[in-house]
Amino acid sequence: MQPKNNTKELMLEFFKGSNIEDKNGVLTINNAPKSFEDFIGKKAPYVLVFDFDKHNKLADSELIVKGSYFLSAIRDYMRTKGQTTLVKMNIKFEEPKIQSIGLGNCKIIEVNKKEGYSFIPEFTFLSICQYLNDKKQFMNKIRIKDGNILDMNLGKLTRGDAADIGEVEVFNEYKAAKIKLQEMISEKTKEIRYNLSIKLEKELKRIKEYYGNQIKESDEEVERCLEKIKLLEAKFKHTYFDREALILKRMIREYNDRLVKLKEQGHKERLKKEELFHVNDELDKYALSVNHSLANINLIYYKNCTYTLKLKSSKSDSIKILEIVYDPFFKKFEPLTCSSCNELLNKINISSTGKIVCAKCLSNSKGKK
Amino acid sequence: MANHLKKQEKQKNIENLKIIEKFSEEDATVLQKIKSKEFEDKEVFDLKLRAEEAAKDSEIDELISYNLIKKKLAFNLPHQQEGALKILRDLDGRALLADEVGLGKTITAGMVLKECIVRGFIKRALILTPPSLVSQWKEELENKFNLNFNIIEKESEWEHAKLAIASIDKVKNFDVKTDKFKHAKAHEIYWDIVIIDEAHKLKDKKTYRWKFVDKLQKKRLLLLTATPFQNNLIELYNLLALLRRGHLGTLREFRENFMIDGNERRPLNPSELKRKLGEVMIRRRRGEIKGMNYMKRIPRIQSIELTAREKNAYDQIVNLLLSHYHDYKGDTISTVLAIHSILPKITSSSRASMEFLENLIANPKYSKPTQEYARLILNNFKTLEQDTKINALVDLVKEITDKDPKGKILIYTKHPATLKYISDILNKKNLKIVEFQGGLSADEKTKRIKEFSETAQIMISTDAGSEGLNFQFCSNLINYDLPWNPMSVEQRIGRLDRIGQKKNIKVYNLATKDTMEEHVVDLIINKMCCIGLIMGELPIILFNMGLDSSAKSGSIKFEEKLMQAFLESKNNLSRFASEVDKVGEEIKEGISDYEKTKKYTSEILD
Repeated sequence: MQPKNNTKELMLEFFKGSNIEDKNGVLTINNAPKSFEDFIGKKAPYVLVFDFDKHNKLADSELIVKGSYFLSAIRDYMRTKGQTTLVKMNIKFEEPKIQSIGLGNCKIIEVNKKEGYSFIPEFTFLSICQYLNDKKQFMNKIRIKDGNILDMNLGKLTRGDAADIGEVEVFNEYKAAKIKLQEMISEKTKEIRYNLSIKLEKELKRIKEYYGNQIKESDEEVERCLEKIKLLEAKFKHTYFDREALILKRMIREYNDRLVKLKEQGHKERLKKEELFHVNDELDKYALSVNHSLANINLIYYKNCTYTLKLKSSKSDSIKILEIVYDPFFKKFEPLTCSSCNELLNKINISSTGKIVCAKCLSNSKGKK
Repeated sequence: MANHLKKQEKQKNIENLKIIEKFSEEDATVLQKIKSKEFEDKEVFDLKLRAEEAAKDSEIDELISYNLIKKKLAFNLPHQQEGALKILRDLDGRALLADEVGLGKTITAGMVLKECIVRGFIKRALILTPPSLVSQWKEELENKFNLNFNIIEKESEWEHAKLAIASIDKVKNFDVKTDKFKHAKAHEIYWDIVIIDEAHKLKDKKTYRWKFVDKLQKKRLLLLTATPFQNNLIELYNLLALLRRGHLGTLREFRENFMIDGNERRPLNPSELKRKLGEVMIRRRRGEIKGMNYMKRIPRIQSIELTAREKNAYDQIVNLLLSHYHDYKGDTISTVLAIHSILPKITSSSRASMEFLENLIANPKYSKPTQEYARLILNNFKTLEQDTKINALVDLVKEITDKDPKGKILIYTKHPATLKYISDILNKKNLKIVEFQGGLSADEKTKRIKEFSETAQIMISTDAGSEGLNFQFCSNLINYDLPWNPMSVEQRIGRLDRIGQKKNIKVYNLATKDTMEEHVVDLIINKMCCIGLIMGELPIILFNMGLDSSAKSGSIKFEEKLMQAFLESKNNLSRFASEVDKVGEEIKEGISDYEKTKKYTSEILD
C-alpha cells in the first residue's frame, strides 16, 4: 500500500476510536490511549492544527508539520508498534504425482499424508543514512525462502490466525535478509558515498599539503639558519671592529637558538600529531552513518502436505519410512539430501544399513563390501 | 585506460570514507515476538508506514524547524533563514558568519542549532561566548528556540551537559603546573557543533583561548563576528586556521600570496582573498537587508536638586558605608562589597534607603554603634517633608503624557522596593500601571505584557524577569535609577530598540545633582549607550577592552572600575568626577578602535 501523505487524515486514523472534534480544520482529541499519553508525557485533550496561522492564534495548540514534536512523537510511538504481522496465502491445492519422485533401488509400498504449513518471512527494514547535514531514509522489503530472496507476486493474502501455526524461528532468514539489505543500501548510497568521498579527498589533500609544506618550510629554515650561521661566522673571523663583532656574535647566537628550536625532537612530531587530529576530524565529518532497524516481519504462511512413504528395498526385505514435504506454492517436493554425503538426491536408494543415500554412496558402500 | 584509472581513483577515494553501519538491537525483540507468536494487525503496520512517511525529513533545501520557532520570533527576516540554510547546505556546517552588527547573528546561529536538533543531527552542542553574554544566549535559546542549554561553570559539569554554554574567558584557563587546560574535559567530548560568539578574539594563535578552541573535536563549527580582523591580516589567517586548517595555505604562503611587505592591513590580492573567504564566510551588510530600520536613541538627563535635608541624609548613608560599617565584633565590613551591594540601593530611592536602614537595625550581625548611626539616619529620613526624585518622576511622566497622550512609558528600577514606591505614587495620579518583576509565572508575565501593549500606559519593571522581551510598541524609557553596568542599561534600552520600533527612542534618566550618580549617568548614557552605536556593539567594545569579564567582587570589571574610583575618592566628588572622566577617555579610545576595525573590515570584505 502506498502511504498517504495527508497529516490530518493520519491524525484521524491514529486517534481512531477516540473522541474527536473536527472544527474549522482544528482537531480536538479529547481522549487518547494511555500508552500514548505516557509516551508523549502529556494527557489529552490535544488541539491539533495544521497551519502556522492557526497555531499562532490558538495558545495551547500542537502544530502538526514536518519536524514538529507531536508528529515526531507519533512516529516514534508507532516505531514500537506493528512490528510483527501474520498473513495467510490461500493456494488451491493440487495433488502431486507421487510417481514423479525418483526411486532407485526401492519402491513405494504405502503412502500416508498429513497437512501442515510452510512459511515465507517478509522483513521490512527502515534504513536511515545520515551524512553531513543530510539524511536519507529507505524502507526495504525482503522476502526470504530457503535462504534466497523471493521476488515474485504472491497473489491475494488474507489475515492470518496465530492458532494455525506452531513455533516459528526465522533467525537464519533474518541473517540472509541483512546481507541482502546491506547490498541494496550500498547500491542506493553509491552516489552519496561517491560525493562524500570527493569532498573528503579535497579536505584531506588540503590538510596533507598544509602539513607537508609546514614540514618542508621548517626544513628549509634549518638550511637557511645553517647557511646564515656559516656566513656570519666567516664575517666574525675577519672583523676588526669590536662593536661589529658583538653584533655578529649576538646574531649567531640568535640563529643558533632558532636552530635548536626547529631541530627540537617535538617540533615535527607535534605537526604530525596535529595533522592526524585534523585528518580524523575530517574523516568523522564526512562519515556516512547507516542505521538499520526492523520495522516489521510479516510472516506469510500457506498450507503444505507431508507425505509419509513406506519404501521397500528391491534387493532385500529392508523397509524404510520417509517423510517428504510437498510445497503447493512452488508445486514441488522439498528437496531430499543423501544421509551420507549431504548432496541433493535425484533418486532415492536404501543402503544395506537402511539409510537413504544417493546412487554414488550406494555403489561405494557396495565396493567396500 | 583513462577510464580504468578513473575507476581505480574513484575506488581509492571511497576507501577513505568512514562508513558506520549498525543494526538496531531492538531487532532481537521483533524476532522474539515471531517466536512467541505475538502478532498485530496489518492496519497498524500500514499506519506506521504512513507516520514514517509524514514525519520523514525532506532534503535540506528548507528549514523544517522554522514553523516551530517563528511564533517566538518577533519578525520574519529572510536573510536569517537564508544564512542558516547556506551554512548547513553549502558550507557543510563550517562557517564564519560575519554579518554586520544588528543583523541577528545569534538568531541565525540559533536557527542552525534548532534545525540540526529537529533533524536529529546533533546530540552535543557547545556555545562559547564572552562572559557578559552567557546568560543572554541561554535566555534567547530558551525563549526563542525552546532549547535548554546548561551553563558550564566547573570542569565536572562537562560530562553530562549535552547542550552546553560557557564563558570562553573561564574555560580557556590553563594550569601551567599540570600543563593542562582547567576545562580539558571539553576536549575529550566529540561535539556535533561548536559555536563561538565574538570570534575575533581568537585572532592570536599563541593564546590559550585560540588553543582551547583548536583542541575541541567538532563536526561543525560556527565562528560569529562582525569584524574578523582588527589590525592585521594575520588575525584573519588565524581565525580561518581554526575553521579549515590550510585554507589560506601555510603562514609563509599566506604572506607571499596575500600580504604586502610593510603593510599588515591591505591585501596584495584582494579579489583572490575575497574569493577564498567566500568559500567559508557569510557576510551581509545592513544596507542590503530590507525591513531593518534603525531608530535613534535620544538621551535626556533629568537633573534633580535635593533639598539640604535630603542631601544631608544621603551624605550620612555614604559616611556610614565608608567610615561606620562594622560587624558585631567591631571589624570593618569589606568596603568593596558594601559599595557594590548597597550603594546602588541608596541611590535608587528614599524608600529603598529606608528599607536598607531598617534591615541593618534589625540585624544582630552589625555592631551597636553602626546600628545606632543607622537609626539616626533613618529618623532623619522619616522626617523629610518631600522626596524630590519621585516628584521629578511625576513631573516627567506628566510632561510625556501631555505631549503624547497615547505614548507608552517603560520605567525601570533595580529594586523591588523602589518599584512598589513608584507604583504607589503613580497610581494616585489615575494612570493605568502594570508592574513587572522577577518571580512572576509565565502566564502572569504574558498577561501583563499583553496588558501593557493594549490597555496600560505605564509599565514599571525591575531588570530581573524582563530579559528577552519585546516592547517595540513603546518609545519612552525612564531610568529611575541606573545600573553601573552599561550592559544592563543596554538590555533595558534593548527592550525598545528592536526591529519594528517605529519611533526614535527617548531615554530619560533621573540623576541626583552633586552626587556620584550624576557622573555615572553621564558616562553610561551620554558616552556609551546613546552615542549612535547599533544594538549589540557596546558589548563587543567592552569585550574587546576586557571590561566585560567578572571581577573579584562579582560585578563586571567596568563596574568595579567605577566602584574603585568611588572608594579612592573618599566621597570627594571632584576626585570621583575626574576618575570617571578617565574611564570615559578609555571608553572613547575603545570605541574609536572599534570604529577603525569596522572600517578596515569593510574595506577588505565588502
